[in-house]
Amino acid sequence: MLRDCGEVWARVEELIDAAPSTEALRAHGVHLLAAAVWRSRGRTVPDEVRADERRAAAMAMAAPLLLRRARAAYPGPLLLMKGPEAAARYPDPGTRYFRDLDLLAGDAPAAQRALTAAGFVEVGSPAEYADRQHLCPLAWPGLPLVVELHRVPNRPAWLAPPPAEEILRLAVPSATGVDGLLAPAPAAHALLLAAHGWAHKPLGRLVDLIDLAAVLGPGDRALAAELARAWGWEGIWRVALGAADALIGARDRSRSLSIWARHLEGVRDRSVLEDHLARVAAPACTVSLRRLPSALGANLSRTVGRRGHERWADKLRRSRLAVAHAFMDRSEHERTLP
Amino acid sequence: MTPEPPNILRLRTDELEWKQIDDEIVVLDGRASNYLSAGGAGVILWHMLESGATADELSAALVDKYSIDEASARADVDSFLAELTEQGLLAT
Repeated sequence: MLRDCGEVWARVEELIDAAPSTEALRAHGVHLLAAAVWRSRGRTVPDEVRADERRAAAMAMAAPLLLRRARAAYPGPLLLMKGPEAAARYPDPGTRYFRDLDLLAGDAPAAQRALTAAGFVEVGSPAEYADRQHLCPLAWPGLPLVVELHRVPNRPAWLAPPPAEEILRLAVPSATGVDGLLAPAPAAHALLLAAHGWAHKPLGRLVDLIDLAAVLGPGDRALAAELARAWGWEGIWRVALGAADALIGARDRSRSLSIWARHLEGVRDRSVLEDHLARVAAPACTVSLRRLPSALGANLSRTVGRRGHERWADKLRRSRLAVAHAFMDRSEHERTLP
Repeated sequence: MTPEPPNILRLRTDELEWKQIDDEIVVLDGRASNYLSAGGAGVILWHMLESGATADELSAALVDKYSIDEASARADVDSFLAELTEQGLLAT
């Protein structure tokens, strides 16, 4: 549908024009795309966005360097997901901001050992990542990006993990051009991007849908649907693709876009209340009725619960602020948190 | 006797990445894991060194662009080249 299609990027430009503020563009992860649009029209790019461009350039330049070093250190299959792999499908990869490099390894612990032996250093405590989808992040001294080696790709907690072996089996050469580095097949990658977006902000950010649209080629839809069925991800895929089609592909407006992703059309930030409701209700249109009660319960528990080792006093303070800021933009609210 | 070939100066190509943002160049020296930036005259010199240029050509470009005298231009060029040499950014 959308890849290699100038109309898509024309539509993205229209959405950027609809954004109420630079803050909203940043909240949706499209402020660098906006800067490119403004510059092409001879408009001055605001200083704060130029600072973001410098940071993004630093990250983008470090990425191939780190990927080459990771590739050289570990002989097994290494597959790049999201960030720079999605960025490589943009007209200008420098307009897609990313902060880490997500790699799926054939044997993640072995890859972690190989990379640390080659000079990467662990950032944080490995014990904290024992139950996470990726191992302790790795940095190269002096460079700003971290590498995260995944046991399995990221996904919402209520979805079954995708079969890593199948993703590796379908892998293709990475679009970044790093020799020997793999990437998921576009159909599988689009699914992984959809799931990643739902894990963090369900239908929350425009950039997640643009990534999906940029990666999914016209001939990839059938395989994506087949994989979604095989992985038990039909619900999430139907909703994410429907939203991307409606928003960027100029197809009929999807129900999810009308009900709880209205903020995407106006490229405005969700309010705190909308954000909480979206996160709690996220499983509603993506899992079967039988599994819905447990998925909703688990999601509610995560939303109202403490974060990690957070003290109850801090949790209550955060909750009081969330109530007081119910109608405030989410990003503005987050800036008030300690 | 053949005349001595001019000393062409050039940026090294290995593990050196850069990107221009408006009137500034952001550089990553991968060998040293070090970031640098250059603005103004540095951008002009950087682009000339990308394809290769002599110190005389670099000075002449600054004279042309900024309408300054040759001695000032040469001093700026020497200072810029000394910095690049110290950072190991020029091809040897």
